Amino acid sequence: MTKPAKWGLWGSGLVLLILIPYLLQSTPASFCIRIAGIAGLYMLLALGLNVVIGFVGLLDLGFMAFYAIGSYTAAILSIQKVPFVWCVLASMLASCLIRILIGFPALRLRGDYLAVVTLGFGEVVRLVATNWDALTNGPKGLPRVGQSIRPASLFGFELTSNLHYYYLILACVLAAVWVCERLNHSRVGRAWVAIREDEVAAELMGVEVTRQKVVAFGLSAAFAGLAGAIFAHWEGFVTPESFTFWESVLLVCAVVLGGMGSIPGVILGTLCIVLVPEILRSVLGSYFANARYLLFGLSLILMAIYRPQGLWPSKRRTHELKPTEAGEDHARETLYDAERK
Amino acid sequence: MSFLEALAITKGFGGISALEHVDLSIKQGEILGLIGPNGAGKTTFFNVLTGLYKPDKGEILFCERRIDGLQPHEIAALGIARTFQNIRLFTNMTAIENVMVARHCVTKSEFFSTILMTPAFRAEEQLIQRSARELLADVGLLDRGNALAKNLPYGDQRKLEIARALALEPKLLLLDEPTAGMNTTESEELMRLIERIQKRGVAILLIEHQMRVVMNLCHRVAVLDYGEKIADAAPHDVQKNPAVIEAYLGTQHA
Repeated sequence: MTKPAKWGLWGSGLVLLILIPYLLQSTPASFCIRIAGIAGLYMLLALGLNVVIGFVGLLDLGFMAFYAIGSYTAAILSIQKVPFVWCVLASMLASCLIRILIGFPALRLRGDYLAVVTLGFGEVVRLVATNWDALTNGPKGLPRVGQSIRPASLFGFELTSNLHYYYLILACVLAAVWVCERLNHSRVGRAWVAIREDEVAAELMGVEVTRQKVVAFGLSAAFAGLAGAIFAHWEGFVTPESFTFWESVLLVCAVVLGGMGSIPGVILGTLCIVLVPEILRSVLGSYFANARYLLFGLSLILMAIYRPQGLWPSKRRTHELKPTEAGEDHARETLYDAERK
Repeated sequence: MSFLEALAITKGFGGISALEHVDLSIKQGEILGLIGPNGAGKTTFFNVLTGLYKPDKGEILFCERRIDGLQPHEIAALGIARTFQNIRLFTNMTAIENVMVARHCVTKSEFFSTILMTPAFRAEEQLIQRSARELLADVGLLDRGNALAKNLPYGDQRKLEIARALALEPKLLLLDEPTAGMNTTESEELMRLIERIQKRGVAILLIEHQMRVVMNLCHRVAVLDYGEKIADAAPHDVQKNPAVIEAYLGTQHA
């Protein structure tokens, strides 16, 4: 595809994403806006998780913990009347820092062992949120009676409707995609993928493996913190129930289903995870909601057999490769040119 | 003057001592062969040099600096690069990306400059691509640069590993059986490549089983047997050394 055609496609897609919800807002289908917003939050989470699972190849089964930390940080600060933007930054920072602190000891483990540690940490965070009444108000959730989380406001504009939050989330998802796309084809991203492919070889090729893993860990948590802060303001209510182990598993599901390491794949996977249950619920009735895990389990088994690389597998970028012209060789002297003299 | 000096390296695994007081020195621009029967400790010695294993005893000096105890990536950054006996490429990355990864420690774009796409980041990215392209051209793989590493034929994978190691701009290159599994033409071609690399002033330490390659290429040959160095001399002298003949063929009963 030529470059203008590509931009045209992206542009028109973006216009549709902005226009359709706007046109839907006063129709009976307006509930779709909310679903799209939720899908967007999950996309943010899945994109963050993809950095760790897809790029660096570290299995994380407790990712919701950082969504929880982000949500609670935002809720607690917002109750203290801290402005939205600061809440978001603090949430991202808190998730990021805690993740890095956990990462330093945990990243000495590999593969399944790391997965178990992250799973454990996910449960620890949920249990702390359930039991630390003084800070989180336990299972009753935040805010307490008489307090409130104020709706988000950006530059003096207050976000009140689902549509407003949809636009905010859309912008964040686009930014997240952009960050992932930039990193994927950069020095840092290549080092990550190299670690996934062969950790020992990467280390011996000069990649500071532990350091790069910690950076990836921190970045993924920042995504989760951002999503958490938006979630807390949108719902106006945070309870530990939103951050169960099953939610973490669903996220892993989204990444694996879509294609590990593939950004469009992860987005597609998240859409499946969020939309398919909604569609089936309206077709099959609400008792289906309990059966969705069964369905996802089944689909993962089928994927493992028939399409292990995911719905939209990742593809490494192809570079333009031409033999260097003779004139160019002299332009820049390297160690490797020395022999030709 | 010798710029790599390994002194009395000892390394054991449980009750087995894989290396026993091995001394080895390499001079600048030299091709040193390291031979010995299977299990003699050659690859262990490579792993000790590159920091994968910490030696139990002994010290390693590289450019008058102690490197034993450093992290493998620190040693790589100082200028020791290697290839592996059983090829270890980044299989799901393209050939050129494999080489680009290895530019890691001679470049420095970090997280924020990448996201913000600063001019420094763009310039560096171009440099990385350019040198990776030159390196691929050097080993004759430029036209296959976009192929995934796992899809390359065996001989090309070996060459790609060398290109990747060269991307570190090493002063010392460790090659672990580079001609293993190659036919005569291929190994001939590889020998020319190794000679070209040596002419650029890169010292080479070479583990090799094909004696034709060792005798033609190496300036000096060291022989390991059961973790001990039993000879260290010019190729032709090593060929006549009774201890070496014994290690390979056993003692003569007459």
